[in-house]
This record gives sequence, structure tokens and C-alpha cells, in this order.
Amino acid sequence: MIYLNKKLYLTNYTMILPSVAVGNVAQLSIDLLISTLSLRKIGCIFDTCFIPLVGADPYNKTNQEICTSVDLYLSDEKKLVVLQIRTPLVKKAKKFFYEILNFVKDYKILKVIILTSCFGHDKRDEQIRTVPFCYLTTKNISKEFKQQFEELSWKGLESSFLEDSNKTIWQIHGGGFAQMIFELLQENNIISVVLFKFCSEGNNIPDAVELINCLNCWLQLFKIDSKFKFPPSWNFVFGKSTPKEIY
Amino acid sequence: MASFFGEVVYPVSRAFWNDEDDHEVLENTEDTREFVINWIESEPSKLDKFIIVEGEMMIDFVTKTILENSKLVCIIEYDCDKNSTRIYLIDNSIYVCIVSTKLDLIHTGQLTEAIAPILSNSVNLYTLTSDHMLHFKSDEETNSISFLKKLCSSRSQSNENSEISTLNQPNFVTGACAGVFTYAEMTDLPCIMYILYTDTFILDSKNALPLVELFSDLFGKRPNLSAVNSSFFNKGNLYM
Repeated sequence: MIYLNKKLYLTNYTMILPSVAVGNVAQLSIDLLISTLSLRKIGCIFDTCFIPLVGADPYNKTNQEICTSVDLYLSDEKKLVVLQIRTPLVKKAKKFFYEILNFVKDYKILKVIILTSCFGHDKRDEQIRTVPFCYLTTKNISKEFKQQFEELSWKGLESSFLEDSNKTIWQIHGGGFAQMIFELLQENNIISVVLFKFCSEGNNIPDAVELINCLNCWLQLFKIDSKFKFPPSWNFVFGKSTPKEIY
Repeated sequence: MASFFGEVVYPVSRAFWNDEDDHEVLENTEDTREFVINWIESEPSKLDKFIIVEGEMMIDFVTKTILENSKLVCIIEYDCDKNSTRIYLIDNSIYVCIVSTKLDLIHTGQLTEAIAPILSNSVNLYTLTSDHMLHFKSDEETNSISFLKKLCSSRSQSNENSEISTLNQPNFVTGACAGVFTYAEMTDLPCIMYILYTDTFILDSKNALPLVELFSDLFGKRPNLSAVNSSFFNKGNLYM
């Protein structure tokens, strides 16, 4: 169920969504994007495939707004719709994927960018020697975008050949549902790009910064040398300060 | 744990539920079980006050102090009898939903979806839950042994009780209470969530104090502590 707090016109907008993946890199990247661009919340999605969650606004300490498991944010200036997911996927998400697909179709959104991450140990020969990012695009992507990716020296995801089934496949280990939603969008002729970073579990804030910087080189959402605004909700990522009583 | 010498153990990620990559969650067989709502009394067309209670400590307190002379009006079954969530009626006006303590967190979204028609028929929604103080994150130092926080849906913000402060970020609540609150926010229903933070996992006469005051407002009467002869006060610091 999608709830929107106002009527929207999103023709030719870009939608960015995270896949719940290794190190939560994509979700952290979306947090950075919402906080840095001061995006406005426009609604939320309730689906039983996610654990329900509510809390105070993660991006503004004084705001009375609440956050839920899946929220939608908007920037009219940048022509951007951003989806944030705050809980893991616990059930089949087919209904959720179709809800996203219908939203994209109904509002005539131009392209969908899926951010995710992949286990660092999964890197192959060429990937070890180059930047730790890879991308995957639908076949209907424009020549202009392809040229931009080449200019940015982005590397396409290498496919694997399965001898048993005589098939060529793409795999993003630890990438969550990114590939599934990508395939659904591809089947429905929606221009989509999966952008991911190889990483390992730990403090993944630097990975998120790098992933957003990489995305920004393409979309030009903010000045390349501008500083990120970290959301105040990140202040306790490593827990509270130690209680004085223990000294 | 690795069971064979030389076995390749792939790293897991905190991002996945039960260490399962989302691919695995999606490939697992679909859980076709559903919640079944059985009304013992006739289903009410309008609920003036519907209170959802979740968490062992909160349920224990409500059951012992409030539900004494209540009437069981509805059983919401899932999987087996042990997992049933129950709705009680107090004074012919207040409906209290006790969420089964056996209900897995992953099914709480489904429960919310199942009780959505009941939520839609409610005039005022309240949710009660609790958590340990260790999980509460804040810059402010607190010396109190328990305190209440609240969250108000957009519709209920004008009716908010000013004595209890709003839950500050980055704290959050998960589960059935969160599901009900989300549903209320999406359907423009007034809903207030109360969260009790305590320094123990059991209630005693001191840390239950914020609840005593809240329940006086919420249920229109002080909780009957004197009638309680077991359980929630019996695990204090006394050894005998």
C-alpha cells in the first residue's frame, strides 16, 4: 500500500532506490542523499515483506515528522524521487516489486537507479585492478547514458556462463533484491541502472560516501567538492557514550 | 559453525534477516498461513478506544491490573492456539488487543494487515510497548529508573499529552505497535504510541510508576495494583 501526502507530477523524474545489501551501503547512501539535498518526505509504503518500524524524523531533530520502514522523498528541483528502506526483507516481496513498477509506470518516471553493494571477496580479475564499482543497465538505455558511463570509466558487471544450463547470467552476491527488481523493470521496458560497490561488513559510511560520489559524477546532483551533510541519526551508530558510573 | 576441515565459510551480512541473502528469502517457499479473526461477541461497527499492547512486560502489567473484569471478545489465530492474539472489552467501551508474545517479529506486518478493518473502525488508537533503557539512545543523561516516551500520528498531534516527551531520533519501535502506527498514519487515523523504557526486564513498584499515571488517563481509572498477588512485583531485590 502506497500512501502519498499530496498529488504528484513526476513525469521524466529519476527514481533512486536502495537494495538491502551487504553493509547496508545503499541505505546509508540514500540517507546521505536525503540529508545533503534536504529532500522532502512525500509518503510511505506499507508492505508485509518488511518488519514494521516507526521513529522520529532521522534527518531533523526538531521536526515532528515520523519515519517508517519504507519512505518516499522528493526533490522537484533535481527531478528526483528517492525511496528509503529501513528494515530487512523478511518475506517474499513480489507485491512490493509490482507496487514499485506500477508507481514508476503510473507517474511516467523516466529511469530507475538501484543502489546496492556486493561482497568484496567476489571481485574478479579486472574488478580487482580497477575502481570498486560496477554497473548493470537495461538494454533500452540511451546511447547518451552509455557514453557518459564510458567517460566516467565505469565498469559493467561481468557475466558468468553456466555450462549446465547453457546460460549467461549476472550475479551480485550479497546484493539483496537489486537484481530481481532490475529484471522486473527490464521485462517492462523501464530504463534501469544498478550501481553497486564491492565492500565488506564493518563501518560502511566511507563506502556510502564513495557510492554517492560515484552516482553524483553521473547525475550531477551537487557540486563535486561540496561537503556531505551527515544525518543527525548517525550520531549513535556505534552506541551511546560510556556511562560515568563505570569509572 | 564450520563442520568440515577446509570448508569455505562465506561471510554473512547484518543487513539480512537470519543471515539469509534476500535472494534466499525470495526463493523460499511462500508462507501461505494467514491470520484468522474469530469474534466471540458480535463485531463492533465502531470502537471508541482501541488499545494495542505488545511486549511481555507490558502485557503482564496490563493483564494483571486492567483486564481483571474484562470480557474476551475476539481471538486472532495464527498457526496454532499458542500464537493467538486476543481482544478484550473493558467497561463496554474500551477494546484492548493483547498481541501474542509468541508471535514472531516477521509476522507483525501481516497481523497489522489482518486487523486493518478493525483499526479503520476505531475512533482513537493507542499502542503500548516497552523496551530496555540500554536500547535508548540520547545525549541527555538520565537518572530515572523508568520513563515514558510517545509518538503521535499527524492526526493526533493536536491532542497530545504534553507531560510525556516525544521519542527522539535515532530511537525507533518495531513490531505490531509500529505496524498499527504506520497504518494509522497512512489512513489519517489518530494514534498515540507510548513506549516505557525501564532499567530492568521486570517491573517493580518504582519503575511501574509512569504506567500507573498513564493508565489513569488512558483507562479512566488507576490500575488495581492491590489486587495483584503474583508475578510482576515478585521478582524484586528480595531474596526471601
